[in-house]
Amino acid sequence: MLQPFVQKKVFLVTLVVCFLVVTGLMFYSSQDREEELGLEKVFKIILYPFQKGVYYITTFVTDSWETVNTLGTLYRENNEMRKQISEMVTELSQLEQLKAENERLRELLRFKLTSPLELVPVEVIARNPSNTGATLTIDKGSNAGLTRNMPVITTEGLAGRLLNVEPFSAEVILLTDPRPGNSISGVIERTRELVYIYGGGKKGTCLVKPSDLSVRLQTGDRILTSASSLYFPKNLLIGAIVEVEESADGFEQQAYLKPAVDFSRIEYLYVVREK
Amino acid sequence: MNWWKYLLLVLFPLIIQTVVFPHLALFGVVPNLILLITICFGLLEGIRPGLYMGILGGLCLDLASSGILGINIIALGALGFGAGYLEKMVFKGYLLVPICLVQVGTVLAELFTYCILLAFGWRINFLSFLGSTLLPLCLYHLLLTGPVYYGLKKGLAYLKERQKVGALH
Repeated sequence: MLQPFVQKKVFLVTLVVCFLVVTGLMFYSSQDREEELGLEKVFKIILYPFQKGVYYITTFVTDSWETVNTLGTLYRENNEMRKQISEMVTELSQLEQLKAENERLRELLRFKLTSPLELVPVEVIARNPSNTGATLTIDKGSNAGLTRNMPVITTEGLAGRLLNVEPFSAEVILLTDPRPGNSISGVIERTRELVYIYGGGKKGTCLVKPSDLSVRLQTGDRILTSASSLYFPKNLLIGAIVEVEESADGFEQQAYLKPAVDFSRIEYLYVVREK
Repeated sequence: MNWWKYLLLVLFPLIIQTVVFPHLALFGVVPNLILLITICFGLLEGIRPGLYMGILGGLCLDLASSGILGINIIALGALGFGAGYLEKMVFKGYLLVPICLVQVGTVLAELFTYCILLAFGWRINFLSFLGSTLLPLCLYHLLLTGPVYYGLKKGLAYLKERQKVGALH
């Protein structure tokens, strides 16, 4: 007679214990962690091949659809590009001569190369399932020599940095991700003054705060990575300021920055690795 | 239902949510298929299956999203439990029931997530969250509830039929 009552009690006690464990987990995982939990790592490693398989099917379907739709345009573009290639071959041979000359001069002056950086091309295979976090999964990991906090860029500018690295994949935290700790320092291109950029604020933007009250921000200002940045090479384009807010007395400012990279359309990225 | 069927019912939509739906984003928002499935599953199967599905789905979502672990476990677990609780009270053949429940569930789960993230220091502007995330998400879920609900209903009926045939043999 007591069995249903006891069963109900056991069920409720289990629920309460689970709730307490989960709450503890929330506090633990909210801190900036150098390493993921083992369970997170294992889950991502298991999920990756399936994500990659579905990614290839999706890409094949969307690419085929686009190719069929743009066949006529592609034919015209192809002819145009053939012409451009023949012109560029001539330019390239001239450039190679200049390069060789440049190297000879560098050797004569014993000038050290200024950019000892290597770009690792990667492909985006999956995105964060939640709409609040802004992270991407890429198709290369520690096996390709990638490590945590390496900068990630596109041809348009800075995209973010590596957050978690698995053997065959890695997770990129984008500039717009609103979690605490996702911030970088930058400089205003116009004045070279220091500002701090934080992910979050309005969706798809970053929050910009001046380093001190004398720094004035303007709409349209381009922000570049600064030399004092921990992870990023200097002078990479971060984005442009689209909105400036001032306090009632006009002293304090904060602004919203639209990143140079369009994160909604991103497919290919480069991870910057030191040579 | 076997545990691997639960896992399959969570992992397949999760992969679709992370890989396929970013190509079909509506106003920059990707639908939460796990939430849709949890509510529909709870409504079709009852309290315990709904709760298990919510907890498992929430766990997988949390592990895949590299955010704060546990938010989705609590949110989806509660939604699965709530939907399961209503299983015997509502008429399941009427599509308006899952549609309303999914809308309410989406708003509650997103607001809960927002509050927790805010409490842990995430910088999210409330008006931007409301206009750029919550409203488009409700609209997307409105479009997807019908196909997901009927697909799940058919799938579960097929599985039960096969189980019965297996038991007879």
